Amino acid sequence: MKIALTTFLTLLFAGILFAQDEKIGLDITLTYTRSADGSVTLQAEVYDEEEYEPVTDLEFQFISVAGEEEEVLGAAYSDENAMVVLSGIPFEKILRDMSDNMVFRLVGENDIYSGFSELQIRHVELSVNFKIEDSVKIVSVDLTGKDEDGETVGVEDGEVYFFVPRLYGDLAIGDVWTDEDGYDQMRFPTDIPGDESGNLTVIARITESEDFGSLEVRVVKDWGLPTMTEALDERELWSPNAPLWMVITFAILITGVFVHYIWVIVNLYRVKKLGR
Amino acid sequence: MKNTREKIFEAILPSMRDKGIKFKLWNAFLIAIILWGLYALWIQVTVGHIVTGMRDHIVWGIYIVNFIFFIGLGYAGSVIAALLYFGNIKWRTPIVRVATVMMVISTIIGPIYIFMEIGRLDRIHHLFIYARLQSPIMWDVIAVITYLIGCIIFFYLRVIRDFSFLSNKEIFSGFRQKLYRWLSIGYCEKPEQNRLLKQSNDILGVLIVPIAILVSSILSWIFGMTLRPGWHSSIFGPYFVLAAIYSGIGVVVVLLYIYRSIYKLEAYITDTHFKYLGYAIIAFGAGYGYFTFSEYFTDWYTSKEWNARLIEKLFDPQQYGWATFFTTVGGILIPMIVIGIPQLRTTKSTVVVSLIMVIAMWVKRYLIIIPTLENTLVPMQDLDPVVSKYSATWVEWALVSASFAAFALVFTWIMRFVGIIPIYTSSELEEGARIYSNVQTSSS
Repeated sequence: MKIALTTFLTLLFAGILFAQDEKIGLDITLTYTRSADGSVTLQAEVYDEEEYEPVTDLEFQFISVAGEEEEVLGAAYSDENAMVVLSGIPFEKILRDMSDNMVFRLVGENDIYSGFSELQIRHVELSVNFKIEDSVKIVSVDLTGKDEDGETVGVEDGEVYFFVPRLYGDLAIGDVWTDEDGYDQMRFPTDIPGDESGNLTVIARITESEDFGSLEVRVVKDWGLPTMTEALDERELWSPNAPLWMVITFAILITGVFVHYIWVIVNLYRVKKLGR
Repeated sequence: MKNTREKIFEAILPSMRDKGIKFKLWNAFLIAIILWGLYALWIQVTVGHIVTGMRDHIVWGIYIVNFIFFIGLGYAGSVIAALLYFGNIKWRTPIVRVATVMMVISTIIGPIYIFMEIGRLDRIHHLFIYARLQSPIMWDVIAVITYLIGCIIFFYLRVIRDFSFLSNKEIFSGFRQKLYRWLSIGYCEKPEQNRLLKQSNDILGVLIVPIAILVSSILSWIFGMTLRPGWHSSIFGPYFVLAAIYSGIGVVVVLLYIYRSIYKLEAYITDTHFKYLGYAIIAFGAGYGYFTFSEYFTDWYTSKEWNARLIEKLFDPQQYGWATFFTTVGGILIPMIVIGIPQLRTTKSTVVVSLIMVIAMWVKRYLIIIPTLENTLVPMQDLDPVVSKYSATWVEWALVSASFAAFALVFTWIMRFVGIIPIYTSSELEEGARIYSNVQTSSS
């Protein structure tokens, strides 16, 4: 009996220990996005390494790392699409080294899964400039970052796409590739409708760069074609107020009908009065 | 004249005091269907419109079909009654009574099915808050409300004198007598009272016909003023008006026959009534058939892509071909042939073809709504049949069945209260005297 019990307990503990050692690893794809307002979004897609199934409802911690120093940025759970998102992180909260490199660590663990991922991003500044040369409208970008000594230098090989927001999405208008000075330019299209004053929002966007992550800058420029919207104070079928002829016809018809209804009701009242 | 009234009253009294087991079973049957409909409504309200067959593409189902059918009967009632009234047709009285009661009930039941259709009933007041006079939907709301008020007044004017007569009948309970007296507003046959009532009847009689035609046209414009194939048609206005009157006559024929058979009213609802109503069916059927032919033929001949697709859908036996066949043959040809050939025309055959025609007219409304909505304006591929095809669910059928049961129940009880033969008018008309002599002859 004792032997049987001892064997059982040994197997049980061995099983628990074995199970703890055999947690399923995670395949994590971490991305960095800095939006135009300067806030940062960290997003990860999480799958288990064995079956490559989406991992849902697992808590992750987002940590900013610089050398020995660590700063917990926040925590989030993976959703039904295996996405973990931490958005609205103030840029100032992120730790950077002298060269403006940033390291993000994502750590997630529970009884079944365990895994982490690190992402290194070089912080760069993107600026958009407009100029007119020989009546040609030019839009240019300056992509700058810091070198090992902390000096600001141009960043080469940055592919920047330009967009203009439209009703159903962003309209791509071209792209540039920065040179060794971090500069490139392109001719700006002259046929894009803007608002009443010709204002356009121009988006310069770097998308999922291995070095810089994703970032975008938005600038409003009056280089669009002014869109003249007709004031809807006219009375038309499509305006808020109906055409006058319609209102008058309607009023005459309804008044005509209800006057006769009232006439009949008055007659009924007189019938009642006569019956007293 | 008074004896005539008494005779008519005696004749219709069994229908006004029916307490037999058949009457009770009939009421229980109708109430059971209405309760089934209410249960379906509760399911629809608590679970949502997902319990219906309506989806993104087919947003209108048999609720709208039912709405058009009933509102058509409502319009038909007033037109039939007013035309007979102004034509001073001697044999009109039972027809006018059935038509006016049908008018009021249908005009109330029809619009209820708009509410069944709407997903967000909590926003119904937006219809008025954000009303735009340019919208045909807004015209319809205003027109239906205006028409309903007119219908109620028109009906009431036609029963005031009978209420006065019935208020003196001690055979009824005290409460019922008091109710008759209150509703008769003191009418006591004074010449001035008669003049005022006649003037009112004339005013409403003149007014209600153009209102009915206008309201029916407005309903058709809800469809006609869209660009959808099958709806965008300049003949939809008169087409709807004719269809409404046509199906309305069919319902009047069926209702008259039921009352005549159950309560042995052959002396008052004569074969002549059915013969003349049959003639009206031929006249309106011919007009309606002409419009139907014109509608399909022009769509088919132009061969515009959208229209051609719809025509193919309507005539393909794998899709709506059999329904189109039924509405055309059962709804137009058979009634016209059976009633048009003297050897085939009997009261019973007129009633049978009228019933078939009424069912066909309901199906016709289905064919106006559903195939058109299934015919998407934007080319779509690999659409799930669940969203691209419409099939009514039991919830919708329960609610539609409840509407017919409610119509029958309310009709039964209104007729029980006012009587199927207008006592005063019948006695006044020359026909009333003839009927009286018929009754005397038959009783002797």
